[in-house]
Amino acid sequence: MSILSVGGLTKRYGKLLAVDDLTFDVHPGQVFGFLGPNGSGKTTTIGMIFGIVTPTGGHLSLFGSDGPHALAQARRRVGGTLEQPNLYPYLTGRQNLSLVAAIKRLAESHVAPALQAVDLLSAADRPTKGYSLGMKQRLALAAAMLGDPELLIFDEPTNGLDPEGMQEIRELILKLSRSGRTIVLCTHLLAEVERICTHVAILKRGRLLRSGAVSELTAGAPVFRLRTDNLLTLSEAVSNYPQARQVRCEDGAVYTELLDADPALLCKYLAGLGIYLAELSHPRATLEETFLRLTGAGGDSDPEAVP
Amino acid sequence: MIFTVYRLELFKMRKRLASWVTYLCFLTLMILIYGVQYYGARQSHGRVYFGYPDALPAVLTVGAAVASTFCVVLVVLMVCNEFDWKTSRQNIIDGLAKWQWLTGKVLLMATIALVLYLSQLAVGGTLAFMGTSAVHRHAFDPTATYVLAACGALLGTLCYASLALLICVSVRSTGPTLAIALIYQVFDNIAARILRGLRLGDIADWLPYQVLNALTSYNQYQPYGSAARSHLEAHWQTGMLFLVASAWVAMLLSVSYKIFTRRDL
Repeated sequence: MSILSVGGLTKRYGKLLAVDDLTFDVHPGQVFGFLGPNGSGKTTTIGMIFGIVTPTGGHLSLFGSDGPHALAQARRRVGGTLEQPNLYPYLTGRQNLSLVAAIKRLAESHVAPALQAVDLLSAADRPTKGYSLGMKQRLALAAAMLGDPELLIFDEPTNGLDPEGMQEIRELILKLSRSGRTIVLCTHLLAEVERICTHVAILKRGRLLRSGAVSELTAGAPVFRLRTDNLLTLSEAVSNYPQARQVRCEDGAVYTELLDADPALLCKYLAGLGIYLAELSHPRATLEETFLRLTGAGGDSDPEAVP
Repeated sequence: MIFTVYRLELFKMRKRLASWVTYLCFLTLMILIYGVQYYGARQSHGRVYFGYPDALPAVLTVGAAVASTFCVVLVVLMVCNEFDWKTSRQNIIDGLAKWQWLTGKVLLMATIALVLYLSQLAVGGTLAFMGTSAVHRHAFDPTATYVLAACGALLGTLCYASLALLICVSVRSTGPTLAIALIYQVFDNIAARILRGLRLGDIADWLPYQVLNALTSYNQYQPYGSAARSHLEAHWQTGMLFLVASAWVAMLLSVSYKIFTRRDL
């Protein structure tokens, strides 16, 4: 059974369609990356999951519950943050966590271990307005983890952090995922998703372009890397090969997509022209390449959405 | 859970410096308002008297309009900042139902109104006690009149504070909300004048701030002090005021609830 199931979820603000017929599932133990450029509808979708944004249409179920009352109950098993850390600036870190603990009906004794887990015990009695952004993010994570929720949803948890801060948060999320918790991570940082997530959904303009395991998505591109002494000759020859598309020279090699996906035929063709390859490989596409291919690399083209 | 939410609201207010600064400003103003009366009486060599029992009507009602304004300021500070900091949204994510969140604010609003009114009574009452001479000049009014005046002043404050809460959940930003809530007093007075000019005085009397003004006027509670022709008519007028103020509070809170639960956070 999926922990989170979304079917045909739609959100419209007047004429603007923020989320368009979104369908995906998150299963137990997955670290699910929610990927998309700014304004693609990620935060709106997360808001609908949290119950603070009302969907215009579609279906949403959490832990198999989908009625309004049942959903409200199920949301008690979900923790998370939306956009920036939302804290009371005049209260200390400890007081902020105490408030969250009281709302979650937890004893005060849960607060200190949560502060310890994010290494904020020494700064616990300082007002959070004096915290760095990294400390605020860590405190927000600690608040989300209070009560040990089964599903954690983090929206841009590394936004605005320096590389060290990003590393800290990444480590924390990885630690959580290793403990078997289901995590939905919403971000536009591709490297982050590639390092942390097992599954991913890619959004653009509110539409789901692709979803699935990260390994499946990155393995999908039929790009081949070819290398020889004379790159120019090789590039010209490959460009003239009828099955070759998107030929480009990069990093001392020629990259091409093959329509028939049969490199042996290309080898034979090149050998016929007297070109003998020093290297022919099929490198895995990075998530960034996949993302840019799907989202049209910032252009206006809108690739066909895949459910 | 509501008790927990209420406890958290009190905790948040208690820990906030802005709440204390606002409260100290209110206390200072109360000391000035009643202090002027006290010292005026002392300097008058017996011509003016500010002491019990004569001062009781003033103690009960004179500072109430100021208390209602400070109540509005505190309500705006405690509600709108939750939208500015997006902590209202986080509270819902953490598991609070929207109705619980708003109920916590309504209870806080009532507490603020009560604390400010009690502070007004404490300041005015102390100064009146200090000015009380050995010989009482007038007899006490019936106790019921004082209780009615106190309840009326509180109800009037709640009416204006409920309006402020509605503006809070609609506008959601501290500065504009504070401006609109305070400027409303002027708007209400102008609207009432226009309505009275159009011979619609009966409608003008029921505008929220006009209701507050009437409820904080001690004469309202005295049959001989009001414009009523008989005691029965005077009681009827006071009863109607209480009814209208209660209706305003109920209506404004219901609309606030509708807006807060229906709008996305």
